[in-house]
Amino acid sequence: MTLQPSRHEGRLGTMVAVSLMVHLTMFVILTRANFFPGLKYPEAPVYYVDVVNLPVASPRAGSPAAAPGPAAPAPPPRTAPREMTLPATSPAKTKPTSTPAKAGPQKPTPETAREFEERLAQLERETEARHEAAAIEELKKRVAAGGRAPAGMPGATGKEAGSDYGSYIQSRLRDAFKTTIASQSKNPEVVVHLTIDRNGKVVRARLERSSGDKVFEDSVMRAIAKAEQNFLPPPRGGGFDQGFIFKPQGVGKK
Amino acid sequence: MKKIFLVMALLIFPAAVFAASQGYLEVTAPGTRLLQLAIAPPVALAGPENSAFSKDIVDALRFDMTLAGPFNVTTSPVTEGTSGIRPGDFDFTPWKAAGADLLIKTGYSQANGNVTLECRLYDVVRSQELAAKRYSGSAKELRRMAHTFSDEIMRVTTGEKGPFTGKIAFVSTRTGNKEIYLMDYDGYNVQRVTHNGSINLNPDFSPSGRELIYTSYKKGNPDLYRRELFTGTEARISARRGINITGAWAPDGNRIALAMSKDGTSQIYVISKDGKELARLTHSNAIDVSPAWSPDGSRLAFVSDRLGKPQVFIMNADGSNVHRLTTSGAYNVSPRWSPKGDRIAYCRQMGNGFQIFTINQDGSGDTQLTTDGSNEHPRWSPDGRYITFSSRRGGADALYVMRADGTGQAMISRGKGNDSHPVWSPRW
Amino acid sequence: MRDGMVGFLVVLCCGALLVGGCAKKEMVKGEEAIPAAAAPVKPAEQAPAKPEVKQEKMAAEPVKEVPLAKEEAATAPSAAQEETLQRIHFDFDSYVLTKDARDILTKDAELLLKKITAKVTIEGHCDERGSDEYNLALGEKRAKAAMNYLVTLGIPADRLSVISYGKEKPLDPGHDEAAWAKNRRDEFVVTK
Repeated sequence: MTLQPSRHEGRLGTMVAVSLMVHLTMFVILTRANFFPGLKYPEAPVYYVDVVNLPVASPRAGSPAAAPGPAAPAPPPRTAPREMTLPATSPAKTKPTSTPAKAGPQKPTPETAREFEERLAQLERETEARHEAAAIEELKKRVAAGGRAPAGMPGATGKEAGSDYGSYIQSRLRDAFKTTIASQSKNPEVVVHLTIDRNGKVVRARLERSSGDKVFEDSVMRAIAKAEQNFLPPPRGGGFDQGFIFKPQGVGKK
Repeated sequence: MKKIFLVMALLIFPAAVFAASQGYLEVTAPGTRLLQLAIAPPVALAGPENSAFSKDIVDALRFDMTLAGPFNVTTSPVTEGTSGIRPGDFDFTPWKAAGADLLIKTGYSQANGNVTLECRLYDVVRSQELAAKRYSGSAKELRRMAHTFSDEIMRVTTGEKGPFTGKIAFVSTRTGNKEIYLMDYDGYNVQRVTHNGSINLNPDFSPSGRELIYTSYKKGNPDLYRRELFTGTEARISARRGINITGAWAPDGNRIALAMSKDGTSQIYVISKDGKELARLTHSNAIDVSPAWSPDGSRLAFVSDRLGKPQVFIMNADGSNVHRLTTSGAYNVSPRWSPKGDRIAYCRQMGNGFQIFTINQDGSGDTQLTTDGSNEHPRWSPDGRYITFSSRRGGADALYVMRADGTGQAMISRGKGNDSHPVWSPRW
Repeated sequence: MRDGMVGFLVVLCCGALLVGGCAKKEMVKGEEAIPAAAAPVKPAEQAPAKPEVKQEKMAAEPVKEVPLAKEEAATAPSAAQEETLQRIHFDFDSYVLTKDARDILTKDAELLLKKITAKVTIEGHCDERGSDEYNLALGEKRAKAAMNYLVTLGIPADRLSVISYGKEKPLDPGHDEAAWAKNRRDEFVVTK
């Protein structure tokens, strides 16, 4: 008898919780769908941007087709190692990106001395890749200088790729982090300062701040180790320094 | 809707701008993933293979790591070129391909009736060894060795040692009457502690883990006894008129809180471990039982029906500042303070049974952990990450363990009869 | 959303009904208790034991009856057909003596004064539903309630002792209301 009121309270509680969850997911879906950059009307997302940029980007890209032109500058670094979702762009872009993708899987196991020779070969390949990457960077720069506005990548915020090296690293880290994230606390957060040398190698990963969740810290370090295998060298043969805040995606966890 | 959206956007946006202005880039991912922990089949490092050894090792590791929380455990083997377990002796590639984050490799050897177990934990993603230990002992100790390595895995991966080498003391009717037993936390290696043929109740470990107090009717009255586990020496430390029950060892190891009725109704007292009365903490006309110390020994939770029905109250260790903790539910009992200090587990009567809840010490965050059957006697593991409890789910009362959030419930009772009142020992 | 609202209202109504039901039941219980306490309105003489004011009041009347009963027993020995002390029963989570319990205790007291000269231990027992720890204390209260009543009926306190077994020694191992009702009891064990 006496437990009835509490069960009733529980029902109310779950309903409030469900409503909250629904609203939060709605909110996240809406915000993730890239409405912020221009604060445009939410109903007119990607297409609008595309249309605006089309005439601006296409002449610079110098490609015959108008449509693939604006899409091209953004994708290379993002799509290079993993997905090839975009329609075939010009050959100049696909070629360099595919080489580091090949070099990637071979890197992770420089364990034994037996593989020394292979590593030598790999080094050579790497330098080659660096040259090619430099070429991409050049391209990227040119495009970036032209139109800073979102280049029409569906679902992108305009910083996804191409706009600068930091965002490129960020997106590589994000991809890796998806496959390593784990935690044992509610809202873990880790701030790591990465120093990347001119070969695209992480020479230092300094833990600047942590919420103290060791499981989470380790998952971040694993993400860095994993992503590092596919890093392209920073532009202009220089090093790169950047702080990154790692945390779980908003609503999912409680 | 549009307006609401805009308002929310404006609320969120400044935060994003602020983060960006600091020059840090955010990297996020859906945070529901578990670490993929692979347990490689144990290998014979020297001498013949022994499938019984392999089973003991894998079973113990799998049970610990499954309960642990951050891991998704797999024991399905991958095809490897070599069976080496040392760094450099094997290739991480197949384990990477299998999606493992962490890998446990073990090897055993047997000589002169002694078994040596070598355990290694690897970070597959970083191709790195995280821990390596070698244990030796009799074949019967193999599970215990594996548990010891589980504790070490927890230390390495979570920053705090695991409680998996702990023992659980409990009450069982497997011989017909309620006697006290001791077993590994996963239900193996049961040892009987009392043999008096009477009723024995409410065991509690001393903070050292070497002594046990419990209430026994063996001399007629429910008196409190203290027993040295390794020597079996026993002393009756409280045989005052009436009940001497629900003894709870203070964190300092020198005092014991208990409920006694020598002055009328059952009240909470503190006695020395030798039985000398030190203080009476409660002064009610009601029933006060089941004291539970806060980990710093500054406060006690207890059960009182001073407001009509049993509810959990909290008071200072000198009996002052009594206030009610549980406010929902008509019948709340058996409080136990987490060793971490943040939460208090207790039981609420629901229907014809009980369910286990945890609540913050300020009364907020009341959370139900169990729903299946009737669940009682929650007791924390020494690291506060797990809870052992007794449960009736159709058959007899059996003991279970679960994580502190109620997930991962697993039965640990393996004997006949009703098992109840589990207590997880401090680390030995 | 509308469904949700409807659901919410339904839940609210159900809750309200149930709460109402509860309250009503409690009231009825209370009424039962009140006449029991009010029945012996005769002037209370003494209140020896401390805890239960209610009980002292109830005790008042029977105290006067005891000598009567004694005389009766003395003149008509056949009245005591049963030589054993009968057990008494309690309501759930209660140590208040019911009317039935008091009647039985009155008979038991006759026996104790007339036939049985040995000492008696009163065992307090509970049903399986409550918490075992709390029930140990509750069982003791049940035993003490009977002891106090017997003392007021003229049994010397030094002939009586109490012990609680909580829910450790059920009379009926069943798991239904009938078993529980049997198990919520005081037993009287002659210790000689």
